[in-house]
Amino acid sequence: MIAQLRAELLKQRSTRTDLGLFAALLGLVLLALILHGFGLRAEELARRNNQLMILGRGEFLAALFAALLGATSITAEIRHGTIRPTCLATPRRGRVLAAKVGVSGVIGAGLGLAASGLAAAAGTVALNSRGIHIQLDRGDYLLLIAGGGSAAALWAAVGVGIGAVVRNQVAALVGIAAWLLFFEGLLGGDLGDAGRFAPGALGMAASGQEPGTLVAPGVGVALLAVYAIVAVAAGCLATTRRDVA
Amino acid sequence: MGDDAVIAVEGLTKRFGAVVAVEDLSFSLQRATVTGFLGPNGAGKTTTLRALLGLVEPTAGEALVFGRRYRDLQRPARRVGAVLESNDFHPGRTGRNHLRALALGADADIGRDRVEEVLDLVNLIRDGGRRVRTYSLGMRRRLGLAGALLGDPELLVLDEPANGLDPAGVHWLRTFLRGYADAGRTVLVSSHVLAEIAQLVEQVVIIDRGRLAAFVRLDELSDRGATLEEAYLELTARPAS
Repeated sequence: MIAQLRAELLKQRSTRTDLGLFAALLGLVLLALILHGFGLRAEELARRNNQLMILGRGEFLAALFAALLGATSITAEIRHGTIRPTCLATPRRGRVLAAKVGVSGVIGAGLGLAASGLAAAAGTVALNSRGIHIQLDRGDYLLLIAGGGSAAALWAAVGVGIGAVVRNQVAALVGIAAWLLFFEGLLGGDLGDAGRFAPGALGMAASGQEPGTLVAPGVGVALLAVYAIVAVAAGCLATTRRDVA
Repeated sequence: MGDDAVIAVEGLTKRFGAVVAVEDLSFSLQRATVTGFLGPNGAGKTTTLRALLGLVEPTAGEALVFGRRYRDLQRPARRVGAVLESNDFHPGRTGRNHLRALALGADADIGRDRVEEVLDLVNLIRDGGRRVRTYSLGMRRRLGLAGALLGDPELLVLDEPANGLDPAGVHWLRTFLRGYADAGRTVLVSSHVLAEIAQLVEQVVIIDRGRLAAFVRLDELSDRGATLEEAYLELTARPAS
């Protein structure tokens, strides 16, 4: 299993995909923080929940990008055909998928920590520069960053599972982006109480956003982990049962 | 069927929905033989090879290598090397990293020095650091072959290896496979181009519409005064419609 992990790590290091995702993520986080930090009215920014939400953009974007990275780790192999030599080298396909979950999870955690840290720092600078009192304490910051790392790690695993089931790269990536950016946002209100248990909302809860509305951070991590386990199990089943075309 | 059969296909059937790709196919190949696997396009060659290599699950029957299912082999890269498609590479990865990732994934003590060895073997040592998107088709063919050779396998399985190669590439491939076979290894090479095969192999398995049409030694054919082409065309003839 160590061998497969090393192989997967080399695969992810040896193309520019991960680096590109990382750069795009940090750029988007900065852009989002600048737009929110300087675009919103001062009285809105003064509210604690809004401060959490804005600084939590790091978590949200990292979750999205980690899921894309996880899905790409398997769909790129299918798209480019490397799944064939990969499966010849490692006929136990469950191991291939497990290695992808492991490596994508670790890199996803890195994305989450970096994006959350950058969002927290940039948000703090933006609010300070406008003379807005920051109502967050050290615990809030820790939760934003640690929760962001955990949520992104779990979303990376969800992405691997979705990629393994969907297989088509474009469909998987568009599906993930559409779910997080549109469906949960649009349907969130219609779902009422159940919206708290949607996977995107659980990621936000993990980093301590919208306390009182969303579930507690620990519950968010635990329930998101359940989503990840279900997605990976489905992906594993799909990968081992289906033929490699 | 002897116990030392390197490849044993027994009653292999594979259906994709309503399409029968391979039907009740049986043949076995002994060690140190070079066998051509022939048939018209769509005859089921690729499906048979994929079943043999554990990529597709047979609907019925079995396809064994060294007496086992591929996925039950210990360190399969040490036993079997295979190339199925000409372009199974990530275009943004270098040839060398492609091989290193395969070597790691095989978990069979294949070190970096072996990666350099196979790069050298297929004349890609100077291009190993380039991304595959800059490779010509011939270079990709050779990189694929390098991947199959990483574990110094006893059996080489190649699906249409000469497709798209220029004459110099075909000549190189033929010389390479000849040397490989002369070292006592076993080769199964599929093709629908007879000229590529006739000079290389000692026997042919011919399939048509998913079924075995013939399994003959080329010297038996020449004893009968028939050429491979004549035999092939006769066996795979479609009724005029």
